[in-house]
Amino acid sequence: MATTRVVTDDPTSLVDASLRMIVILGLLGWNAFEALSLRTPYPSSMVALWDSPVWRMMLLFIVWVGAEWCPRVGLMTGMAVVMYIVNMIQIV
Amino acid sequence: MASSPKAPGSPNYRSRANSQISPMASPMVSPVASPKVSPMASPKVSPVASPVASPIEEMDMSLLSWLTNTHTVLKWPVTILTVAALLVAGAFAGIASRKSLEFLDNSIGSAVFFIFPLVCSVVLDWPTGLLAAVVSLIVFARLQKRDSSEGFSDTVNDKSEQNTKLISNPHRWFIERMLGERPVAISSDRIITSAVQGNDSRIASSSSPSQSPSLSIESSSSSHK
Repeated sequence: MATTRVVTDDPTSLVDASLRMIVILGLLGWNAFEALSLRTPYPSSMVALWDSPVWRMMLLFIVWVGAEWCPRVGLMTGMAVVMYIVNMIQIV
Repeated sequence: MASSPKAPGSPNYRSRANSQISPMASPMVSPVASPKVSPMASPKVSPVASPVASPIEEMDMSLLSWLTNTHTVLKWPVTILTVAALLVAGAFAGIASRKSLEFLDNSIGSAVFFIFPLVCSVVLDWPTGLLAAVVSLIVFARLQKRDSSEGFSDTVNDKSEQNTKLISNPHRWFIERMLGERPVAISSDRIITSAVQGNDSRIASSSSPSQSPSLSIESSSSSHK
């Protein structure tokens, strides 16, 4: 009766592993050079999109989906979203 | 054979039969397999009798099992509802008034910012806990900023227009070039200050006019990322 659920975060295929690496490196670069850098402004389109509640909900949903996909992607996405929203709160 | 533990007449066999052995064990003690079995014992191990003695597990009525069962059944819907609530809370925490969040601006509220993501990750799953941590940080960041009515903007008569403006002019100010700033928005481009109005005994005694004329100073002000 007892069922064991195996939880693994390993990539399921080569394509999956490649996509994870691309997304992780992209978010790493974004966090290093955009989110955590005070000298680099956000694109004006992202600043303008802050007024849209759908945009803000989508950002948070991406955090959850990214974490469901891969823990590292979730952490990177979470950091990027937090820095963006905190900056927007300070600006607006 | 008669001394075998699985012999029908032995005490071991009786105890196992009384303890609801699974039907898989019955061929091992069937009368066909052991010719020396007495006929009196055969009804207890016959295939006809096995459904009557089929294993019926007793329901575990302990509190722990009840909690485990409830958690298993409700985990998925609670996760969906929690994620939806976190999405709404995080999306609107940035534009919510500070007064509506002030109940979290104390020691207990600060503890909630840590405990709530931890509970979500333990009870539900860790992606939901991560989302709860992100929302907690957003709410915390919102609490660190005062409402616009509490700051300098109160002196600006801007009831009809939005205060924050995106910078469309590519030419930067001199001070921005000197400090290396590249602002994308300006919170307020006009501040009107007025001199203090009132009767001052020193001014009144030294000068003839009892009230000094009000000064109006307009200046440009802060811009930041």
